[in-house]
Amino acid sequence: MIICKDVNKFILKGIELHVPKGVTLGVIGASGAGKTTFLKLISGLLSPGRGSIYTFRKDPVGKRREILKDIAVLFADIPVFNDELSVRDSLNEMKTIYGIEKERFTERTEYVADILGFKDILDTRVRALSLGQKRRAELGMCFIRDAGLYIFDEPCIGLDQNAKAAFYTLVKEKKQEGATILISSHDMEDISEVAERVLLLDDGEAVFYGSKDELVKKLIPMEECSIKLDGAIPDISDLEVEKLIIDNDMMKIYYNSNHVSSKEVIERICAGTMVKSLNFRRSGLGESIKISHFGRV
Amino acid sequence: MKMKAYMAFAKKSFLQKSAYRMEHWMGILNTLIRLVIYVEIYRALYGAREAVDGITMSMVTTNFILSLGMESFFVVDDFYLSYRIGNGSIASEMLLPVSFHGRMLADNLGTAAFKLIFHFIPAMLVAVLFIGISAPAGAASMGLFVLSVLFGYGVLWSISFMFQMFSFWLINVWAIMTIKNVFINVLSGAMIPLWFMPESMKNVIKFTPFESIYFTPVQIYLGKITGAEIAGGFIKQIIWIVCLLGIGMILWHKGQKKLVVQGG
Repeated sequence: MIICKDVNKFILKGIELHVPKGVTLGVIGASGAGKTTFLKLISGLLSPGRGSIYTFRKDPVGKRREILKDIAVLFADIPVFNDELSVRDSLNEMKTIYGIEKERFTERTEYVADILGFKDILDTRVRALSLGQKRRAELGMCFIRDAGLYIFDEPCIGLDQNAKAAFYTLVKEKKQEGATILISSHDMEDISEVAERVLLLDDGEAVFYGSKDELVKKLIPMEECSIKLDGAIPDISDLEVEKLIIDNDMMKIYYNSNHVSSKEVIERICAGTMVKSLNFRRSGLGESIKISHFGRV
Repeated sequence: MKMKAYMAFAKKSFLQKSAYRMEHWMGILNTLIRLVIYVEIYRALYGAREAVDGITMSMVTTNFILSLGMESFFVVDDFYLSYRIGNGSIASEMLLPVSFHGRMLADNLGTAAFKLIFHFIPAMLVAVLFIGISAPAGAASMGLFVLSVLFGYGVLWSISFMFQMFSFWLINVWAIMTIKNVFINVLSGAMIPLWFMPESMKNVIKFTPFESIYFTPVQIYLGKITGAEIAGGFIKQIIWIVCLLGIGMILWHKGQKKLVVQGG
């Protein structure tokens, strides 16, 4: 479905990957890591400086017109709607452009507007919408169409929890229909629910590309131990911890439990000080990635 | 499907235009005021004379009525592309499976159709009733006039299309659009009938696309040119459309390349 061979563009360096049909790929990385550039290359909005890209086995820049009918795209930095039109007018325009049958269009609009919660703003002019409302309507515009490839750049910006849940539901439905879906985010938690493959970009380089399970195996177990102290701060400098945060009488230790056991941590803390309370939890995938690759929480 | 899409774009801009009623009435008033001013200036210049260099006052009046009438529905949006480049929505347009130029033309034609019905016709009725217009040279002249008007719009649209392509390289195209419009106003015969231009100027204008916009149709209507001259007028209009669109398309491809290479 998507093939990148030694792709270089702006910050991106030597991106080499193959995304099979029907896969949901999460593209994650810090701001400026090259996520949007990568997605623009796939959609044909940018041409690679070096290397080659194939989307639907075609050059996405040279054959853009041929592949566009089968791609639904939403970029964070590209306006989709005409501010002077209502959401319904814009959706109708899309219906005409893509030749969607009236019944199918009405049925999908009803369903998608309902689930994403923008039914009541369908007749509102776009310029009167809030960021969140606009984003929900923009996402709706993508999901109303039936496409083979969906590209979402930072889709969760401005979305509340309900809208995020609706987005995940719609992504899962499209995946079941066999669509390939690319979602970028700076936060792994945004996409860990739906992405089965992950491309981790760091400063333009693909530091990881593979299944989410593989990433989980590679990064996890990252444990988090929160301790409320009732005495001096214990010396744990010889323990192999990934991250240590001390805030007044609170201490947070992140460690890889393949290298350090929770028992060792408890023993070392209790030997050095008095403890009011202890709490252990396994870090989420997003936190683990941040600690492992970017050295921060 | 594509034709249906372009028809829908045209219909949408037709309907959108109908929402701005005040603008519409002011437009008609503007055409009539300009018409009265131009006609009165020439009436004063003519004084008691029947004709100047064989050009009667009635021909001058007809030139203004037809030129300003055409101008009232010859809709081009000089800032269609620059607006989209400015706000970034050109990328959205590039991601649509329809031609950007086709969409631009359909939008313009939708507005032009609205203006033809609700601006040109009422303004012409008022002008014909209160100022008066010469009859066409004949039924054939009238038919050829209509055809020439269509080509005239094609020339005007193609000039705007070509100039708009500079939006890819200029932050603001307002200045070049203003210069372009001054040339069109002065050299197309809409402000000064080209019969009164000095010979040397006429020889220069011959090699520009401007007289093909309004003056060629007016000449055909009045029967000032016939036979081979009419055919020559049409050929000139078509050549200009092809050349301007060709240059515009070359610039469009260069501009698009700039976007996909530099990212905007």
